[in-house]
Amino acid sequence: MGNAILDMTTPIILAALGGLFTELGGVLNIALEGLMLVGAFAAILITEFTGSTLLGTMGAALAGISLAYIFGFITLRFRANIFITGLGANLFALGITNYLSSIIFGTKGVIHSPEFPSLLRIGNYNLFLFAAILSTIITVFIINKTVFGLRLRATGYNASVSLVRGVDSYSIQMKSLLISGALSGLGGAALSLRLGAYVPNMTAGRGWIALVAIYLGRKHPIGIFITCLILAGAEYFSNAAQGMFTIPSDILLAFPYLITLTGMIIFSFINRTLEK
Amino acid sequence: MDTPLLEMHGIAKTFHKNSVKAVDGANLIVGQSEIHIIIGENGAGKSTLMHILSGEVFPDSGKIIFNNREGIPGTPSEALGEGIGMLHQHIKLIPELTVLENIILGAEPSGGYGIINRKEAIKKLNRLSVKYDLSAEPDKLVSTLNSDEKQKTALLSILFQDIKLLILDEPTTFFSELKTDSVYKLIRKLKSIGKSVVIITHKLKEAAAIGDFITVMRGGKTILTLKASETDPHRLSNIIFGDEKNLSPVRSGSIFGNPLLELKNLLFIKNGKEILDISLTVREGEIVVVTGIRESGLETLEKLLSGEYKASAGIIMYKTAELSGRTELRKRKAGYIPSDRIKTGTSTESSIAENMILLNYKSFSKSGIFRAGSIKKFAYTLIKKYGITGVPGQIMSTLSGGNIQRVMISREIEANPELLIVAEPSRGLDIKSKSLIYNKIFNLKNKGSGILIISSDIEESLRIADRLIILYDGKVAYSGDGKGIDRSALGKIMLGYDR
Amino acid sequence: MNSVSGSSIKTVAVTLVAAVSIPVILLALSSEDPLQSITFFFTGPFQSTYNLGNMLDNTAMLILTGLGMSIAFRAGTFNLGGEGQVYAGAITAVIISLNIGNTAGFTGIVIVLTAGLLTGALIAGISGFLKKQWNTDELISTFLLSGAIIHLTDFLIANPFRDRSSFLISTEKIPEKLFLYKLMGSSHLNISFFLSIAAVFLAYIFLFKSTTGYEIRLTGLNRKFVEYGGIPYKRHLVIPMLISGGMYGLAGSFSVLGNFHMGIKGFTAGLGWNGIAVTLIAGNNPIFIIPGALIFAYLEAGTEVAMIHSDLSFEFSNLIKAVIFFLITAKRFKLRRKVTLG
Repeated sequence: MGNAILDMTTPIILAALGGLFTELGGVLNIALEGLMLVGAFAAILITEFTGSTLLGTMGAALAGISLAYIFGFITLRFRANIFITGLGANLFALGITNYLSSIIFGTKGVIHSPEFPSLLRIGNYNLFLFAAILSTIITVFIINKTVFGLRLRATGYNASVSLVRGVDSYSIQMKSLLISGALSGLGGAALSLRLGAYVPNMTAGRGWIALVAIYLGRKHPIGIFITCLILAGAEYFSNAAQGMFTIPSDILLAFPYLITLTGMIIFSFINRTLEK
Repeated sequence: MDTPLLEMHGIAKTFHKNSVKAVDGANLIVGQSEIHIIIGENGAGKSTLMHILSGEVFPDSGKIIFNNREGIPGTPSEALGEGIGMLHQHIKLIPELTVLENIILGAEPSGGYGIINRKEAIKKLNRLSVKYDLSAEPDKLVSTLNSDEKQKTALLSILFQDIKLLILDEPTTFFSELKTDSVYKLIRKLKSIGKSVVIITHKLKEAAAIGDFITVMRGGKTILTLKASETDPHRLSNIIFGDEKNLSPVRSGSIFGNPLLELKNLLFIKNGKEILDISLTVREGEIVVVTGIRESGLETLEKLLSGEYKASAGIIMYKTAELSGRTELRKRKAGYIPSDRIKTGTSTESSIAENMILLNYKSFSKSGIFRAGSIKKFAYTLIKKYGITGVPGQIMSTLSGGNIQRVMISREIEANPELLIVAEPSRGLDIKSKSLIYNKIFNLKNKGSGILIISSDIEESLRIADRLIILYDGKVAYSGDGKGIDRSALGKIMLGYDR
Repeated sequence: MNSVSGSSIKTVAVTLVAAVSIPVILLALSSEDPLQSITFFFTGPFQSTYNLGNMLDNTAMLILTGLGMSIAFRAGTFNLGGEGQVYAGAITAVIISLNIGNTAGFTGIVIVLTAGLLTGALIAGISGFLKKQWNTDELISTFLLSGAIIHLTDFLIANPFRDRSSFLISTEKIPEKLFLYKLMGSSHLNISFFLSIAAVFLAYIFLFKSTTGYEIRLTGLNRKFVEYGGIPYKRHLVIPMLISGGMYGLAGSFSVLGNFHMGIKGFTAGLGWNGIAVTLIAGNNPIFIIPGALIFAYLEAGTEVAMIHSDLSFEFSNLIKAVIFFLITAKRFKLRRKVTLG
């Protein structure tokens, strides 16, 4: 059970940590979903051709970084509306994976090959879990102890004060986007490599759940880690209920959205009540 | 002192096309280890000139030589890199970060790999604390500091960056919590270790007490530079405000009716400091003008009346009921023209007509649908009556400041309010617009409405007030019918020279 | 939240050129006969009345969804739940159609359309209500709710309402008396086309000629100004959501009565995002939504025809939308950063 919850939550933790960097830098990053998706696809693509999950994982991070760069460049340089360009990045991820999948694999559907290398595990645990834990710790360190972390938070809290102090918000926000691309890409790899296959649109809202987890986790890496565990736990138990009540799979697929939405409503309700 | 530290020549800056020049060919020379005062009225261009020096505003033309290097700083960081630091009137700190984080931001001592060297940072901070006698607790969150501590933190953050020239914007307004003496001590300390300080101020006494040189600005120009020891306050006041002939007051009949608006011991306290303490009454047919420099509490008064701020004590009475909350004034059909014309008083991306009907849009409709042509007709009437250059469908942001103000005035006055509150009615307007606006206000007064004007414009205040209230440092320094008060007397009260 | 404002002509032009070049470039890169594929892309939609009619029918749906989105944008709110709202409106239309038995055709059609509209309005309205009540971010809540609704609708089609005799995952066919009158041969074009054009004018009158529209537009442009004028604006966090969702729901029920005549798993997919693209091309102006929808429908039809006539099997639709979303709100197209003096 614990193992299953951890496996479910690892991709979301990684993406949420990535989103935390952009969030702290004052950028609402609704492109996490797309960044994860290109990561998931690149991981399978590169692993398929090299036979190495390590190279696949690195490729996933690189794919996330590349899309984040396009997204960031357009948003920051052209001063475009970040919500709309974020939607663009998500659709771009769907489109480009569909295109490459048809061109390279000749299918728009599931990509899976029988001799796909299995994912490294330490004991019972997925290697990505350790990556997520390590990333959480490193994130705490970067945010609080480094020059970049301080400038990132300062930019997010008040870009004009930071500017007066000589902090270049463009470069800070761009770097935060690239980090979110790398971590979300890894999150995508965690998703597809564990399955050993790529399924179209396999992120299925996980990027959005990660986004909500950032708020529910009070924008703190540890808080986010715990929130993701709770969300995954809730999903796990509702899935487990399937056995008892034979809930159809389509309804199960709606659960993550409903659980996250409920968490968000409770959170905003508490916030509003505290304000008063 | 052979070469000066700073030379600024022919600096000019216009913010919006078709508007007046904020800075118009200003020159400034500041020597090494010199305390230089820049003095002038609101809108004289002092802050803009200093923002150009600190890299926050890029000038249209001009030349800057600093420390023997010519060039115009493109960003605040470039200015800081050259050794020019500015302490703003509104403290620029980030409340969510700690004192130390705020201080080192932008000049973080690094121990390699981008990791902040905390030990080094604390060591440097302690050195500065001792040197300038400014204590600080590095790990406290800035949001938990009192205003005194915040000011010290802000100052330390500038000193941390190894500057050669410090610009202080209204330092004694800023350092109200510290003893004025200790501010002076600090400034002299900076001078004694070879740094120069430029101070923007409204206060004559202050300028004379601490400055080596005083430069007077008016209408975007640097009028003259004097040795501080050789200045006579009376003459200086005339130079600052212009020595044109006093305009005679245009007060009409003085039969006032019942009280409409009463402020009873209205008090506003922020961070333990008393920002405003005022009582006043506006009666039917009366024009009450509250004046002073902008920082004397005028903005606070406006925000208390509009409901944006909540009073710490005292009450605001409208006729017989107490006012509270944001939309109260409107519910009681009072007119209000805010000083913030762009963000509050207009919808800049809407048309002239749409801005004009804000208060009575429902009267143009039948079953929720606007009657064809009715709004256009109304807008054309107002455009003609108020001499607005534009057509009903024109977008507000394409209008000049004077026309924007006329649109607002037309809207508020045509609604025939019993009470009209106007903040800075003629800021930045030309003579023609000004006289039109005064005429409309007088018409309203003659119909028996009460008018409260909050204005930092001296001439305006003297000319139109039935009752004049002068604020200094948040308190009423004068309240009366204004007889016997001329420009220079008013100027002196406003600047706290003569009380 | 920064609201989405209209774009300059230059931005729209750059965006459309980029959007058209995506299929052209991809076809040139991957087709065995690029020239032929590109020709099909440009001329395909006009090659037969069937293609033309379908393109116009798609235009009608895009007009409705685009209108829904433009009203939300005008009010300064986001509705990212269009996908779910249109799908839920459609399934409601199917369920009601299958259950109204003897009701006369016209009355039945009105009932079905109203039900679809109300379903969409209700779903979007929940997000509006949450925003008003607790300041719950509507951008995320509309998306999450829509995500859940999509799966629940999938469930309704695949389980309780599934037609087990069909090889598709679909419901039974709705009664023929509820079918909308067809206009162009065997194509899907039907009278909903005229109704959607009528909706444009209604939306125009609502936004620009009604007191509520005035309040909504002002709220979207400058909330401070509305508050200063003493206008209560909180309800305008909900009303535009209701209208926006209602338009999506209506589009869903139109596509059932006019085109699909049954519920098929995922049958309205894409309409939600397409509506946003159309609104953005039209600069949030209801009148420009007509050409905006036509352009977008043409791009979609062209890619579809090019695909049918080639050896390729991928979809451009998302990439075209991606390019539109990337560029349409750009304020400038400077590739290099500002160089400062000094």
